[in-house]
Amino acid sequence: MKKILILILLFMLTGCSSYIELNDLAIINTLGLEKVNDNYKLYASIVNIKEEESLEPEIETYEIEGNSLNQIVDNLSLTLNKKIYMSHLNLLIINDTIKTQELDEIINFFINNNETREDFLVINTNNLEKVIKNSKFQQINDLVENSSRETSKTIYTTMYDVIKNYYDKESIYLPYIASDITLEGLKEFKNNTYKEIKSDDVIYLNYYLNNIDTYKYSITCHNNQNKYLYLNILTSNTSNFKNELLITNEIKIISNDCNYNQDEINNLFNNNLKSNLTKYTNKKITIKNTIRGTYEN
Amino acid sequence: MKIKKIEIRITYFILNLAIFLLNFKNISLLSIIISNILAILFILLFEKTNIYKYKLTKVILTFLSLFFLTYYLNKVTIFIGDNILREYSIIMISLTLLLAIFFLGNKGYHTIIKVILLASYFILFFLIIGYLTTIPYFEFKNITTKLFITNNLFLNTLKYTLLIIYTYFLIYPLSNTKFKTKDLVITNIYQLLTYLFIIGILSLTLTNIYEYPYITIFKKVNLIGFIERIEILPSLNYLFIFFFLLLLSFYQIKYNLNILLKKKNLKYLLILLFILIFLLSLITPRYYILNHYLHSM
Repeated sequence: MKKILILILLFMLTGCSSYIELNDLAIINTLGLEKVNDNYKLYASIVNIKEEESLEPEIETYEIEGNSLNQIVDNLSLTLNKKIYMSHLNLLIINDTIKTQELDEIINFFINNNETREDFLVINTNNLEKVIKNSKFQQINDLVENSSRETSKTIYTTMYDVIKNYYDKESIYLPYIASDITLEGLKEFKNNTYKEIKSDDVIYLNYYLNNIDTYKYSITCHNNQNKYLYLNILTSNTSNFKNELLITNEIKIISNDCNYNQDEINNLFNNNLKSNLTKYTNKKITIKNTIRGTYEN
Repeated sequence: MKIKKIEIRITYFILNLAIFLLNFKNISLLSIIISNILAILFILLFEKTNIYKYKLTKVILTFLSLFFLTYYLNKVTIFIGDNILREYSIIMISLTLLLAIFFLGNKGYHTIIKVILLASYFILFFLIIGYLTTIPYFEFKNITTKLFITNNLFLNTLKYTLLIIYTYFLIYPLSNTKFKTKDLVITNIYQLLTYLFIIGILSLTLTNIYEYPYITIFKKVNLIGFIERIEILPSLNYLFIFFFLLLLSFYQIKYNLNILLKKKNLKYLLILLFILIFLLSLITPRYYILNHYLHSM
């Protein structure tokens, strides 16, 4: 009896009933979503698996329309005659037609889909079709990641951030990509509307959100317009207290053609930072800098 | 062969972890702290009075174990269906799990303890690996004062206290080893730290949204560019942990029935119990699997 039981258990545990051939999977790496006349229009970049071995897989883009996100995905599966596989989704592109109601549906779709990982990048663009057809997800991912890390002029927003900010009823910041695949700052989504934030202003927003990684800062000398003071902001931390915003910076001087001393550099940098931060907060701003490097050239 | 104290303590630790994870969505920081203090007080009091010798206690525990076995069998089945065996029949998973529980539960407490001890190496190893891989994603800014704001504190605390006490009674048929306050405190501090760890990675908002936050944290893992998509390993690890809770709940029923009915051969009663638990697990109010299944026929 026991042996029969063990045999039955073994057969139950070693089944491959859910096994699917690689050729029967539609592996999506980029999704584009927009709303056109009360319908969703979905662009999906799908890895085309061919017999020939090549270093770069061929990507094909499909367009499909439908009433709801689930319906579109089902339709796409029927059109391709393949199972939709979103585990390798790396990029979601949306435009200004995606508002609160649509965002709610998108978020629910991803939360209820156990296959996907919500760590993919979400961006906004004004020309969805062109961006998705003329670029690769890796190119956009690298562009946003490098810009966020090296210049602090954008925010690398993942689906986790979108979901969190949506439920916390806070602004959602999405990297804004122009049709020529260049980064044009951010789009802020709040109260069902999108607002553009220029690249240069994103640095101050990042200060407010404590998102600064590193960036370079330059000021023209007051006595000579052709000479500059170059600073490299190595690290920064913003503590958001009840009535105060405390910012600590670690700064390295790259070049000091103006021969400013430490107090002058501190004042110039702090005044500029304070005046720009007043757009985002009414709190008292305190800045503490640690400056390294030579003061005279 | 005498059971060592350390084996009992490991079993208690695993059972508490299972209860903690299976109720993760309903607990809060305050409810963990208060429940654990109350449970420790009860356990220390119980060690002196020994209410386990009364028949009424055994009857209550049998019914409680039957309820929890049914309820958690359903929960664990859904967990396996969502995270390990996707696209696999829920009924088959439930049946296989129950067969394994009945098979091992009938082996006696020595076998059960030895299996738990063997599995504990695997469990401990993957718990440590889990912490090491997810620690880079921990952010202190997610640990906010919001953690202390909680809904239904009284009900949640009461429920969780009862569950902790229940795990203590599950140990009792195996051995009457007396616990030290130190052992209980270590287990409870571990729960508290794990709770803060998960919140620190996902934030309170996302923790409340996701069905399995303790699995979702592993979806974020991407180390050295290629260690990613590892959530199947913690899923299997948690399956082991949940399995032992179900196993010991069944052993509690069997042990108490043996004493209460004064029968040595419970074969037919156990077959009846098997059918009853299997059917009840399909109609627990949370998922209505049987209703759904009958409706689709």
